[in-house]
Amino acid sequence: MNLKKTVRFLHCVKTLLRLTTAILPLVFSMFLTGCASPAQPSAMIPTSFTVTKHHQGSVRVKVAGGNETNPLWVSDISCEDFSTALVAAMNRSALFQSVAENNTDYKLDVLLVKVMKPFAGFSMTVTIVSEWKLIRTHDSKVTADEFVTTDFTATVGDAFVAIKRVRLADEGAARANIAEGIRRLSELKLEN
Amino acid sequence: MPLGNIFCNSMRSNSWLVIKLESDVIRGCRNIGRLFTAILMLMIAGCASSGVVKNITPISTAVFIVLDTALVETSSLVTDTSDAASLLNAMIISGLQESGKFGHVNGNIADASSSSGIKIQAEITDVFEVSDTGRILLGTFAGRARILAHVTVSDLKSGSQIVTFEAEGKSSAGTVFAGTTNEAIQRTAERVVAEVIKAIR
Repeated sequence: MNLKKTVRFLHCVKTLLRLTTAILPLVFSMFLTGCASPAQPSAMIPTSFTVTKHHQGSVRVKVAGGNETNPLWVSDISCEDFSTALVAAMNRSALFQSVAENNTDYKLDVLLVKVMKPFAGFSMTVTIVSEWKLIRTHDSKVTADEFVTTDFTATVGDAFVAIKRVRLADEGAARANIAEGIRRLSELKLEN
Repeated sequence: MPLGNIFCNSMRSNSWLVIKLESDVIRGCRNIGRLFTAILMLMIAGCASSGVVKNITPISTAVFIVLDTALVETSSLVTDTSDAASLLNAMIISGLQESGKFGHVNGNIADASSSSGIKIQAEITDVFEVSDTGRILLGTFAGRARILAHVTVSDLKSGSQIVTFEAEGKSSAGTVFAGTTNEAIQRTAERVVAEVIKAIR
């Protein structure tokens, strides 16, 4: 009777071990992957700004170099979302008198040169390199050409699912990039 | 067959089954242990990214360094690495602008030609590329991305050489989470910026 119990118990343990061996890589891959969502514009707006000087005149904003998020891959930053966040940040910081779409005194072209992100990891650091070009509209003079590099690290504490961690890191790096870009532009001495 | 013999045979086969199951369980435990070790190694092993500067020539004291403008030009001797060259250029400009040591830092010769300052020419001489796909598929076996750039710092107007050096950036390695070519470019740019700032001090 005891022997039968032992056999049954060992059978159970064996099945359990087999299941664990099969499930463990699945759990691990679930930890690494998921369904990617794009960086949210509201999360890319900085909460505080360092503005040395407020400029007269109006500005229009154009963003290039972003990428749409592929849900099967990793989170990314689209031009539209970055632009929405940038316009909101420009309005909040009051760097220029107004942000409009047409007939403006200045044109701000922001190029997302590179968004560097890891494929996997516990702490995920996203680095954004962007070029901020401020052009005076009436004579097309480039009044500023700034390259801004910022990064942000999202940890397991911020999000357990890796794919969400990348999105948070994307948003954080974009937030820092917008804040630094505005700070640099505020230091310019523009002729009005 | 006497009843005693049947009982004995049954007991013998059951004992054999127990031994077999026990060894299966031990093997299973070992497999799980190996799997855990592999995952752990995958996560903690590896080496960090790095950047070094080599073959530095003595900084010329004959040239009076003006810090109004810094013009950055990056090119590559390695084929199909124009993307790496433009990213390196952007990161060097970004680093120098952030340092606040120069009045203007740009990559456009037309804007800088009439100004006084320095010219930083970085030429990529060697590249070992590791792409995202390569890192995912091959993990540690994809190797360590490397960028080697020969940098010449000279006076913008006279063209007199101030300093030359080689900056090398390497990505992290050893795991599937390790860096790629972008990380090596980042480390190279950091070294170039640090060395240029040291030269103008």
